[in-house]
Amino acid sequence: MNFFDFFYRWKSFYGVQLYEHMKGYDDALMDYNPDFNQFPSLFLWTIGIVVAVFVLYYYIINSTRLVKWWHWLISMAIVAGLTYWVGFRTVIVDVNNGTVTPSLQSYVGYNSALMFGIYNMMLAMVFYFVFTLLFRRWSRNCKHSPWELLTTKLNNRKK
Amino acid sequence: MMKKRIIPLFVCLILIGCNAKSNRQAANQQRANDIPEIPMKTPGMSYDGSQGAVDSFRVNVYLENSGSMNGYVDAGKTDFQHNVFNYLDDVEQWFGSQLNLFFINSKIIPKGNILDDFINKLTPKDFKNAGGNTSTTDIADLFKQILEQSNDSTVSILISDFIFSPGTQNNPEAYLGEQQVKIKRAFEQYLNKNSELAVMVYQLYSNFKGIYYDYLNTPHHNYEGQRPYYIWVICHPLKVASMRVAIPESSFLNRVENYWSITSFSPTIENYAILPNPKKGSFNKLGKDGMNKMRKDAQGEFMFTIGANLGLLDLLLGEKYLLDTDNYARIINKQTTDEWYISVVPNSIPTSPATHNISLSTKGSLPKGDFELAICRKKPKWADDFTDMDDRSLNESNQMKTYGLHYVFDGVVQAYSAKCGNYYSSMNFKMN
Amino acid sequence: MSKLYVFGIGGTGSRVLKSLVMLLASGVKCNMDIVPVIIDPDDSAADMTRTVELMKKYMVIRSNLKFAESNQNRFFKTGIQPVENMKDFIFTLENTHDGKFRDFIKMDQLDDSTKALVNMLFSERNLDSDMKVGFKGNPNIGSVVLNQFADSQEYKDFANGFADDGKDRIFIISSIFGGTGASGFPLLLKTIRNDKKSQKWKVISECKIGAVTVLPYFGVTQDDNSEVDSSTFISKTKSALAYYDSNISGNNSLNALYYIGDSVTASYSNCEGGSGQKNDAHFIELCSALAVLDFANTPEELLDDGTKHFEYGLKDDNEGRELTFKNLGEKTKKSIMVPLTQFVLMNRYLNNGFEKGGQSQTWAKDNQLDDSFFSGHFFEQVQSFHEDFHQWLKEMARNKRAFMPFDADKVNPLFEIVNGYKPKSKWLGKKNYDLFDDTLNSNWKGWNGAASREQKFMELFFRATEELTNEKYNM
Repeated sequence: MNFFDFFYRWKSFYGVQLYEHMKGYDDALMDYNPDFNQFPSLFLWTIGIVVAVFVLYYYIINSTRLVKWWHWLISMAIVAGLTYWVGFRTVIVDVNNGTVTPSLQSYVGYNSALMFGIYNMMLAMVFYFVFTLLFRRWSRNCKHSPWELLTTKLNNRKK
Repeated sequence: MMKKRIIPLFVCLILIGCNAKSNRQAANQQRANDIPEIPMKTPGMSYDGSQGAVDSFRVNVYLENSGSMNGYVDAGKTDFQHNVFNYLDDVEQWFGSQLNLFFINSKIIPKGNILDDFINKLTPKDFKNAGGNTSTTDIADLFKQILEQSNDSTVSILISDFIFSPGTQNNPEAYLGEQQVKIKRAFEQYLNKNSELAVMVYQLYSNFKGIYYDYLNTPHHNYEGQRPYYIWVICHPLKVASMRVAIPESSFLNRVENYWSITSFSPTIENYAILPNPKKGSFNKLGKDGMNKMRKDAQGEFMFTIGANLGLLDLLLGEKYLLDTDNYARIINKQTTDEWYISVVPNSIPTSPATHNISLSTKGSLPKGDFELAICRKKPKWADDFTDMDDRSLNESNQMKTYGLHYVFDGVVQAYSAKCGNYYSSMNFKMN
Repeated sequence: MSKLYVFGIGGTGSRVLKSLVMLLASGVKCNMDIVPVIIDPDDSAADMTRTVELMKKYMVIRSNLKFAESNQNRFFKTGIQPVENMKDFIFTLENTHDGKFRDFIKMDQLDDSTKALVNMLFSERNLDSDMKVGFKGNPNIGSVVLNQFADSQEYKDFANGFADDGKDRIFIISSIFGGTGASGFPLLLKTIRNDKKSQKWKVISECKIGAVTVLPYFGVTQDDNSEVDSSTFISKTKSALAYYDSNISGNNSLNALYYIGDSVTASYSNCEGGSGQKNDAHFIELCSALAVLDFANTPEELLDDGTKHFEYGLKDDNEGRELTFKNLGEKTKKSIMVPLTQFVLMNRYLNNGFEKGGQSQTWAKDNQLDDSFFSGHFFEQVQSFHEDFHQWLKEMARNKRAFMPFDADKVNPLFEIVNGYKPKSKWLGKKNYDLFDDTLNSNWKGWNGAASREQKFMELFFRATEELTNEKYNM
């Protein structure tokens, strides 16, 4: 399993057959066609959205008025909405254009797209959470959003 | 800084993704344009009927003229005559020149090249007057004579009812067994000299009116009914494919009841792969022919499906042969096993190169190591189904059968197994 | 650090002291610690009460701060402390609370000739004066009553606290036209210069002494029932100036004498004293406070040759209308403009910006400035001090002549608070209290995370207001 596929390996959530399709399964080859693998670009779109919203919230907007936990939650909701749409759309376009390989067509439909959108959204939310844990400390105004930095808490406790 | 690096990378991979989508669309479109007409799934063969005329070869037709064949002929009025004439006419067209026609019993009797005279005008009197020993049939000897006249450039067509005549032998079964061995020897001897040989067998039915001789050689007069007869085509394997395309079963005037073929060819199955579906349980596909992390489903069953391009074998052996699961062997780590249930269906996906989907399932333990699926050289099941061991009375239960039929096939198969191995081809998989 | 004993005599003294405290709180430079002593028989005078309370708050706040080399904060930098054992910075005048002046001088125990002399010097009204609220514009009464200063325990305590190296100084604030101040100033000066009894009489009698004498700058409304009559202010001023000329400047008993007054006068309500004598802060008082600072910051050697006389002048008096920083001379601007601007920005933030979520900001969290801090005594004192500061600015702004360097009630846009100075602004970027919080959230160089919360709080605001002042105004 290559690097990008790894993040989408919970296939039972959105459909094993959809996983095969997204990985580029082609009936003509009876195997995966790396040129059809959509996981890399999808993953990068997803991470890109996560990074963009993260950087926007913590470092560009970096507002002194958006420091409460629900402000962070709103930014997370934006990530969730955008990445859901990216995931859903990636699949539904293939469904509508009929580019799903014939052996998988009966398994991949609107519901698959929905579930995949939700999966992609959850993945993005996890990444956003991890980014928050790791990279917010350098934000001038928002570093304690959504909760106080652990290092600050520990330092303050020592005193 | 991070932004500067990510954005171009971003754009590149989005383009790749979009490219992935557009690649798939383009490939699908190309495939739709490229799908050839029949034949579509058999690489490496050309079906130009003129192949027959390009190579200089002969087509010898042997019509067995023992007494048991009399009921099949009546001056061109029987199904047998219509069908055989039609078939031989097609062969002649395919060959592009006149066929060499013979009667055969204890000896080969030339009968010129005129098909109409050879078949349509035949009556039982013509059989008798042709000469040779028409009272019994030594099937092994028939093969021996024919094979002695054959080589890579010969197409030999034997038409007979293939009824053994133990006659008054004390032990008819011993006779049959002996015949089987002789048949085997005849084919082995040929295969020793000419390593390539194929056999096609058509089982057909005709109206029969006259005397039939049971296995004790007792005549039964005025029998009227449907009786089987067989057309055996013995030739180089390359000719089989060509003939099968030029003269398909659908071109026979009467329905071909059963077909069987055996060949010395062991074509490699080039294109096969483990398919993602259908399956039960789960596994991780490793390339086309490997898997790991196999898990059974909630019902304790594991199943995987192989897609394989068996086009050439399909052409050589016939569709029914490949759909018969008895013709497949499962060999795990060099040990054959019956633990895995197998099913074979034609592959209906037009864009897939596979002609057949073979599903293998088990409720037993999941192996690790080499898993081999082989297509066996075997007699057809219908050989046993249509074997009659007592034809002293013909009725609904046995009138469609032939006395001792399977011994013929057993002999042929044994020869091939000895000379060419038990398997045509196999597909190998790695399970970790 | 050497000390400057600042004697604030009477109402004017208290009010000037108040201005001085405000300037020191904002971080205006002073090279000496200040030891205020308030001399006012009217111990219920509202001005005095306000000043005392202000100084107490200052001390409480300052006691939580350190001023090491590494600290950049200058708010509350100058030390203010009372004379040892002196309660509330007040020199208590004995025997002025009950009874009249005649009782004070024990009139009924005097022989007839003395009585006759007394009757010549003092009117019946003077003799019947109730001294509880001061001398009501009668320096003749004051000069008698205030004689007790030299023999008081407070004087002894003051003297004991005086530095042996003689570097401590004294400054006296008084009004020339009033009662307490007019009488107290020369008396106090004489007492100090002629001290032969106290333990450190030599260093005290030879120390550097400065004074500011405040000429009339306000009037009171005419009230026939009141002993205070502003029509006598000028005549009293003239008398006093004549006296000073021979007995103060003339004999070089002072090293520096600052005169301050204004032709533009406000009119206050006629109140003889007590809690009703609460006059609005005036620009003159601020200028008088500047005199104190000027004296404290003058090197020793420049005070050696006799009495130096100083006056205060504006660069431009704006035709008698309200003054801003732009009307002040360069020296004044240089000393007070930036500190006051910084302090007023802090004031505005604490009044308006903090409620927008100051506690959830990075600067608060990083420095452990949590609920316990913001509901604690220190922060309460800071807020209270800032309320007084805000009130002080407003009083000066509504007085006559008005001093309005700031639009003290400005909420938004925050940085347009300095009158006459348009702030620089960026089209993109944070504004107002967002910018303030953003600046507070900066990663400060050399930040001492181990300092106390109070220290960090004040340091933060100093540094942030300094940066904002530099960024926004070309001062």
